[in-house]
Amino acid sequence: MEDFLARYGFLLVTILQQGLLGLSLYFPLMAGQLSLASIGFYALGGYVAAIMGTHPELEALRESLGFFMYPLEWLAALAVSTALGLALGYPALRLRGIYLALATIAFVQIFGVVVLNLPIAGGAIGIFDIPQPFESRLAYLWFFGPLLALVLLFLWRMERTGTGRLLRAIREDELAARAMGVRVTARKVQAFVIGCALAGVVGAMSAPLLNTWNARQGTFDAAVACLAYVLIGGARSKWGPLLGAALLVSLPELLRPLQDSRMILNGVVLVLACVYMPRGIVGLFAGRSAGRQA
Amino acid sequence: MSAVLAARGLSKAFGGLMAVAEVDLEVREGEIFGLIGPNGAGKTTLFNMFTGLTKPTRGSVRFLDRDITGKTPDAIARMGMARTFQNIRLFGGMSVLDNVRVPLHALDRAGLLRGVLGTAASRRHEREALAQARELVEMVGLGDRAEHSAASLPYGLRRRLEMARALALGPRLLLLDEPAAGMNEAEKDELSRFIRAMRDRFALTVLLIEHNVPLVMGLCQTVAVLNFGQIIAKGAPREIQNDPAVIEAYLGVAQDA
Repeated sequence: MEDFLARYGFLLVTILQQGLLGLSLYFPLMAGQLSLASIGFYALGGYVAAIMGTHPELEALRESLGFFMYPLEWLAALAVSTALGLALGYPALRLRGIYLALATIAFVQIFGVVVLNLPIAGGAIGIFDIPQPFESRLAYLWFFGPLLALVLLFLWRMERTGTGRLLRAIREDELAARAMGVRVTARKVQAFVIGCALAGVVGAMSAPLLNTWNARQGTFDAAVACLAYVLIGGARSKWGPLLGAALLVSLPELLRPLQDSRMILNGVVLVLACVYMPRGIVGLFAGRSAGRQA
Repeated sequence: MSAVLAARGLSKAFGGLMAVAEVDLEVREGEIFGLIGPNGAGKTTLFNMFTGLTKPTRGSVRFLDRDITGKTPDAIARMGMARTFQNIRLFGGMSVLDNVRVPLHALDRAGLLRGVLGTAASRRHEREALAQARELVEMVGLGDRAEHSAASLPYGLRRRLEMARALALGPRLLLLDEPAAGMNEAEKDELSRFIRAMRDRFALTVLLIEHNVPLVMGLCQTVAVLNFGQIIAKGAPREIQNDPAVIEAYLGVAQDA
């Protein structure tokens, strides 16, 4: 067991972390909005935590707070991500479908260029020597585990109350939702901002885990990977992004014995999954409620 | 009787085409008002301007003595103007009950955090919305299918569900876009009875678009005829039926004249 955890502990932590990023895309998707902005907010949250963890002028604060510096970093990342999410959400969510996806990708790219040229973000080198609260990487389950539980509880409650039904109505038929009195734009922004805030907090938790933080944390590739979790896992269930992340994060590890050809097989699995599981892994189990497909 | 809905000089141009031109219309409280006219006469465009889905090129709309020209569709809906769609637009993947709950939540402004935290106010709202939705669903005869998905319903029941959903807004004015489309005679009779019953029960004013002239003549107190975007006749069904302009628009020019 100990051997297993030593070997796969980091993998487990990565699955939770990536699953949470997948869930951050799931929030806007509940209202039918395809956003790829999460990875930008993940990078933003990471920078907030990295700066707060390393900036010399905050030394006194870190001394006095000790471990509680980390929750403070999360809160700061939450606040900054929420503010930027609101600022981005109102104009961006006037766009629909592929245009919203493109606009959010543009945001991710612009953000990458901006931090590259921002002295406080350390330029191309980024920020390194970020303080780490735990010796072992497995211990970061104490960060991501409770956050995941909280997010799932939040989603579970949300889906069973008015807000969840309103978001679903927007996804089903935006025009009809409008005609039924739903403040469609405000609701979309709400769902989008929750996703941004979550991605920001995940970033803040990830900065100590990775020990360094730079502009490579928020790339187009990473954004597409997050989207793949949702698509492979299933975009219509909160379990989808988690299952997708678990599969896609562990697949390269499981295929490691194949050495160089593993990435090819990895790609093949992705393509086959898209073709044969259009509703994701979760869709395979939900086959019984056939009427919903009509 | 005062006017619930009043249009003044309402016009809509799509490019060079005047879809609706200078329409003046008053719908009085408590009446069932029929809007008829051939295909492409501008009936649905007029509906869309009333409900805020289409912005008029000129003119104004007053609803309950307030100018609603340029207001958003959701704001107009919350003021008490509910509608159904010609091509039925339900939330297909959601249950019958959830479809009816959506407008109730929209009216309550269902708070996200209140809901997630399950505060007393939000639990009370959820309880009331559920009870109200159940009542409406049962009233339209869908009680035993409350948990079915809307998309799984047969055509006729979808129409009823759409009406129940509109009624959940607690409207003062109900706009029905071709409610009898695809119905047989028996179903049309039942629909007429249903619309009257709803009007009486909820103190509604009803404005409906319909192709089926006998249905409109039997059901409506006032009828307006739209042709090429203009109102060519307006009045009680009996007057309309004998109006030469209407006969010409609807039946073509009388050959033996």
